[in-house]
Amino acid sequence: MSEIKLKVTNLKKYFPIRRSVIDVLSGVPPRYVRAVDGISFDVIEGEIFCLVGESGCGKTTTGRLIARLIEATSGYSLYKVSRNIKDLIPREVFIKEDYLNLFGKLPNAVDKSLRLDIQIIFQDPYGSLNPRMTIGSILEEPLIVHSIGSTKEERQEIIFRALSEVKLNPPEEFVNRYPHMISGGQRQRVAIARAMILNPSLVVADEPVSMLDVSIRAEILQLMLDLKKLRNLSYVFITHDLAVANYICGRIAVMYLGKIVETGPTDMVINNPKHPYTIALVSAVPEPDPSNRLRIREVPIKGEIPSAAAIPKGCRLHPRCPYAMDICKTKEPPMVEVEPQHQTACWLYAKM
Amino acid sequence: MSLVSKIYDSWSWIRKEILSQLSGKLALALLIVLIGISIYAALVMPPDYTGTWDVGSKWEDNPHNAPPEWASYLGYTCVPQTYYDLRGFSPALSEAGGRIILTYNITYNLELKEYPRGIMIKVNVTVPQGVRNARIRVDVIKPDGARLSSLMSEYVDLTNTSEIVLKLYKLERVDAVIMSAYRELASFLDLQDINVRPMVYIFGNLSYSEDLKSVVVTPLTGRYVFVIVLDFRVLGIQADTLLRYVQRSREFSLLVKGTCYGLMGTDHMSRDLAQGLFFGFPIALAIGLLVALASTAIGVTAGLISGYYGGFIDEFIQRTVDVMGSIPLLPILILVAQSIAKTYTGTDKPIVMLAAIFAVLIVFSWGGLAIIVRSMTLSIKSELYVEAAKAVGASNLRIISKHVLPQIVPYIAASLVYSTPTAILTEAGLSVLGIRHGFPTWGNILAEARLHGSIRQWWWILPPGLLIAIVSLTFVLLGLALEKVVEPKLRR
Ligand SMILES: Nc1ncnc2c1ncn2[C@@H]1O[C@H](COP(=O)(O)OP(=O)(O)OP(=O)(O)O)[C@@H](O)[C@H]1O
Ligand code: SF4
Ligand SMILES: [Mg+2]
Repeated sequence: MSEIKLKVTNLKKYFPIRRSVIDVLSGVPPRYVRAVDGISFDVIEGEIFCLVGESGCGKTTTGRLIARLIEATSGYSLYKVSRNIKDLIPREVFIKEDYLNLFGKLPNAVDKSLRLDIQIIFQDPYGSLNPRMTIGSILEEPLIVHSIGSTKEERQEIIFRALSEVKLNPPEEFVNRYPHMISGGQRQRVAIARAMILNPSLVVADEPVSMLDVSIRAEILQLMLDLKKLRNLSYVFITHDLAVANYICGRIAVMYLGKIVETGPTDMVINNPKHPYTIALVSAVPEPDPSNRLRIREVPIKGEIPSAAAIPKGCRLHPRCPYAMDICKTKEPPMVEVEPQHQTACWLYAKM
Repeated sequence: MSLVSKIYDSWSWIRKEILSQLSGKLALALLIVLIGISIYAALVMPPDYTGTWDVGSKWEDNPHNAPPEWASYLGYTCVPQTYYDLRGFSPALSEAGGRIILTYNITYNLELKEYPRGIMIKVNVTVPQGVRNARIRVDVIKPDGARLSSLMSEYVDLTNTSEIVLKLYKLERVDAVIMSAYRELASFLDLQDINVRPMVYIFGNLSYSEDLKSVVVTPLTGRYVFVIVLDFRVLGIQADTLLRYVQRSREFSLLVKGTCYGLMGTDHMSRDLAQGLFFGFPIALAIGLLVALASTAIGVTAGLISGYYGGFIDEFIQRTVDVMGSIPLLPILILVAQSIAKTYTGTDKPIVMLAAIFAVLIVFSWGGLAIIVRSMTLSIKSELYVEAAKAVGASNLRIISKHVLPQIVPYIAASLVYSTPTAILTEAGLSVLGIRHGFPTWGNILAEARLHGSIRQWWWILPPGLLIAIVSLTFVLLGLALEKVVEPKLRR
């Protein structure tokens, strides 16, 4: 049994909504977008842990919190640093053994070391590469920031290796190109190379293929799987596409409006969904058989996802849920185990 | 890629873009000419130039308010400047009763129908011991036979010194001199007019008007004789000894000033306008670039900080810009300049006034750029690639310098170009409003023309005005061309 790589407990991120001067003067209380509203999950070392859910449910925000790009409103975590950077971090920062809390205030030096260990791949390869920098200088930036490679030649060597690792061959043809001179798939390969060049142990991949042409999605996913095997990585993989999730995820967490509503091993969650929302999601997955795809299927969920600024009381799904009961409107359902390792938060399964 | 080659790349790109437009071509051509002239002028500028521009004695040999020499093609009559080095002339000598008298008869031919602008005699001589005093007297015999006796005269006491340093140009009692030369017209002469325009009466033909009730004066061409008499009272000095001293004097000359001068004419203080305009090039460019650089630097820094860091500092900078923007600049400029003009007494007053004007201009002109840079920074800051740079651990400084700044550089260049003529124009504008600092700028020349000249002295008014316009035009054209380079990037 592998060890836990990352244990997240009750993580929250509230974005304040800008108030007008009149609001401030008339004492209207500050309002927040509750993008992530108290989620807990574990990532096992060497696994691909997936976050799925509709647009706006807080997947990206969770990823950015793990990659320490934004500060958590509250929450606690245990993160196991890899052997590579363990010596760079002072002992007192560790909470137990090799674990530290990602969401606390950390000294600048520790923050910088953690950037070596946790990397992120963004959804949009058109936005994540500076259009004014060559591929070479984009890949050189992390090396310069962390003083890796003492000479230009050494760094060039590392960059070439990183490029061939993501199958951009021959590398010397790519280093002097600008992002607009390569295809979307190649861009995402560059973004992957940038994430990998610092040799991280945990990679957050935020819908890495959703903006790519369908024909190259499989290649990129395969590349990520190969890299994982090669380097013994752990992934937090974000997607709204259950077909992709089914293909690569070990365990899965379904998010709705900033909460995890169901979590468990992928085949359990997808083949035996319990939560009404997951059931709706699974039935929304396109059928591989084209004749089935055109059939109007029954989607047992109605209406639009509410805004994260106005989250319904009780169970967040209740305005849309066909099974909603009275209790759903007032009390939030607790997380309960429906079968070993498979949990869901719904009053249909919880004891009152 | 190294920084140098990057800068070179973006420069050659900008240059290509600029040269693809007509306004860009024109602007670059003008700019090259401007910079060329400025560099040359700065190299040959005498070190004390700005200090001596206002010193009258430096310009006394020139005619005042004279049009340029080429004005003769426009119908102006240009009497040439005529200079006589009297050391080479042999005077008539006479010696009697302890006096030695040297008499020089200098012939001056006035060929054109115009009045010369002045007469100047300079003496700078050491006389031997024993000369007690000296008197110098000038008579003029006109072509019509009239003799203007003692038109100029000066007495020098030499008991305690042996140096004679004299400049004769004042015409004292010229009305009396003219009256006694033209007794028959005396009752019709306008004494006031003689004192105002003495040269007209000295070099003019006086005759009755047709109705015999007044005197008309017309230029009198022909042969004039300047009789210059040096009358020494001496003790035991030989005449030829004294003559040798006079011939070895440092200066002894007669100048009959012409009516036209140099390439660009002169102003009321006889200053050579060509010089003022020429040395005005580097001054204008330096002033413009200095103010533009300073306000751009402040604007960019403030905008970057405001946009990138946000929060309290952002609020503070934005409110400062708002407050600055609501204060009218011109009254403040006038107030500051006037109060310095009234209270400051140092010799470097012109520079201090100018510096104060530009300090105010800088303080009030960075706001617009700061707002634009802030909004650009805000939008760049939220780009995904900036987040990616943060994810790999790039510092704020690195993100600003590598990801934010390079994108606003073309805009900074355009702003720099646009704000360059602002300082030049404001300085000129203030001069026209009557705030005169005295520093020899084009604006200052214009201001003096406004105060002491009239529209007839076009050579004094038009060239500085045109130069200011051309310099501004150059930068505005360049800005227009740059804007077209920058604009698609802004829209992106
Ligand atoms: N910086 C921010 N400021 C304010 N609100 C934000 C910010 N970032 C995200 N949000 C809000 O938080 C909620 C969750 O956003 P998030 O980007 O995490 O969703 P997501 O699950 O990644 O959606 P998608 O599938 O569209 O990428 C949304 O309502 C979004 O509007
Ligand atoms: S808790 Fe109630 S509203 Fe929520 S999903 Fe379960 S049944 Fe539906
Ligand atoms: Mg997202």
